[in-house]
Amino acid sequence: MIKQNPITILCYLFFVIFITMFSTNPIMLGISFMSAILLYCSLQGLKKTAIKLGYSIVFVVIVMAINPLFSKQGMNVLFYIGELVVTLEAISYGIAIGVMFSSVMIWFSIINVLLDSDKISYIFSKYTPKIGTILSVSLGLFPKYIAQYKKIDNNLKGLGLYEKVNFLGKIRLKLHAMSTLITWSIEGTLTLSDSMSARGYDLKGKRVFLRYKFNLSDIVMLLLTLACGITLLVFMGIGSINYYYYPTFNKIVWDSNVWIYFVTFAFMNVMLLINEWGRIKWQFTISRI
Amino acid sequence: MVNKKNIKNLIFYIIAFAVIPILIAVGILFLPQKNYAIISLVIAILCNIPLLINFEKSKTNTRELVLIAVMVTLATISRLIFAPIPSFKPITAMVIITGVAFGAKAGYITGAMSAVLSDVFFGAGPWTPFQMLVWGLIGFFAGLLFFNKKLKMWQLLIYSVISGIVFSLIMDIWTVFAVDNSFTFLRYSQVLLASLPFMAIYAVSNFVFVLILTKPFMKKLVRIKDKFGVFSKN
Repeated sequence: MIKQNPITILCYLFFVIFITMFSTNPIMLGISFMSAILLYCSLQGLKKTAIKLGYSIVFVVIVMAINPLFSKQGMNVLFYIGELVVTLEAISYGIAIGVMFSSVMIWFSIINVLLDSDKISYIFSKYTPKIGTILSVSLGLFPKYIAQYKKIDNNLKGLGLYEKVNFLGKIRLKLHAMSTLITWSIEGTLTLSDSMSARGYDLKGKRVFLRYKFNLSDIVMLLLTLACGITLLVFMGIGSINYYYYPTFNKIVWDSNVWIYFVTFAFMNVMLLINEWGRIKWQFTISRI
Repeated sequence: MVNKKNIKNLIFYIIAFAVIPILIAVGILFLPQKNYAIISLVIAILCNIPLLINFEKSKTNTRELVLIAVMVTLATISRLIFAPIPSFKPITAMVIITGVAFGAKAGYITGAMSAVLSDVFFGAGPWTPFQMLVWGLIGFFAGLLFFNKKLKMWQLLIYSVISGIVFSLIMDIWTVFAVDNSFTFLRYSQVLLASLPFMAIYAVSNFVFVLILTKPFMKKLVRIKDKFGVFSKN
């Protein structure tokens, strides 16, 4: 997955997040959450996954506790707190929403890992070259400017200006360093732009360097993603998998539509895990002595 | 004067802006359970597209591109410097000043791209398109209102306070969607009440930073503009 073309990755994750955000069905949410956790584990290791899992559980508990305050619908009354009715449906809807959002958050952190700055500037510069240029120039300048800012700030500290100032004075000093950074940066940058023009950036026939190519595995994966995604969206449009919590839980009718739907979604998630199976195994067998 | 290019642009804008209402209609009519969160997310992404493409098509020289890139980097760094103090960030003030100094288009691109760049470092999420849109529009309107005009400080300060409030309001719409996936004004007002301190911090921080930064930054940016002949026309 890490070596795949960014467009394939983006397309896949877009469909998975889109469909996860739409579903309130507990089985779907379970599949999505499990595969998100496994994929995150394969990318980031067990320790970070445990932290992520802890945050998600806290979030789910909070939403579960809050939801009955706002929705008083539902048939199965569990207990009363004063005048407040707490129903089983409200609590389980809270859990479902909590799981949905925590899996979306985990999918987004997977995006953050998979689409690093190189890949983001690839996506931008393929379709919008000017914005791609802006992004890649800023990504290049960022570490330089941070280093320069630290130099300026340390100089201010060395002059002893940070002593005996209150909160507002500190802010003022930091902004003073910012201002110095601007003066330092803009002049140097205009020489950068002139050297860019000198190397032919303004010329008409220039092309953009693109780091990633579409190879066979990208095409296969893109096609599979599109096929699964469109199938799922069609079934979603038919409404065969709608799941309601209010006024009470509806029963899932296990007809062919529902089966096709679940199998497609499970396949879509598992597709990636097969791709990443080696990495997952590696994370579990890695020695921790 | 009506020429071919203007008509082309007009058709493009009509298509770009017609897609959004159609999408809302489709979302409300056909999708199960009226999922507001995802529709709002898609709308936020789509709203960015016409302005980005408009910038892509317009004529900009290399100096202007690189200057915008520098402003994006500086805005992101300004967010990083004040990382210890929650939501007390000069990034909105930076975007406003860029809009005032370099015009509406540059303001939009600076706002939107600093949202992207800072989320590369701080972590992206469903809020990224919203941030792109809000910061972009803050820069855009700053350019529209104040670019190439005699700058009156009190107007700029009022604008900065309003933009802090608008930022908070729009981000709270997203919070409402995220928490219960539907939109009621009761819930919205509750969230607004809870986030009132943040709104106050946004407004106050914008006020303070615009007050402190405008004079020195404008002096430098205007000097650069005159010296190198960039952003002279909009």
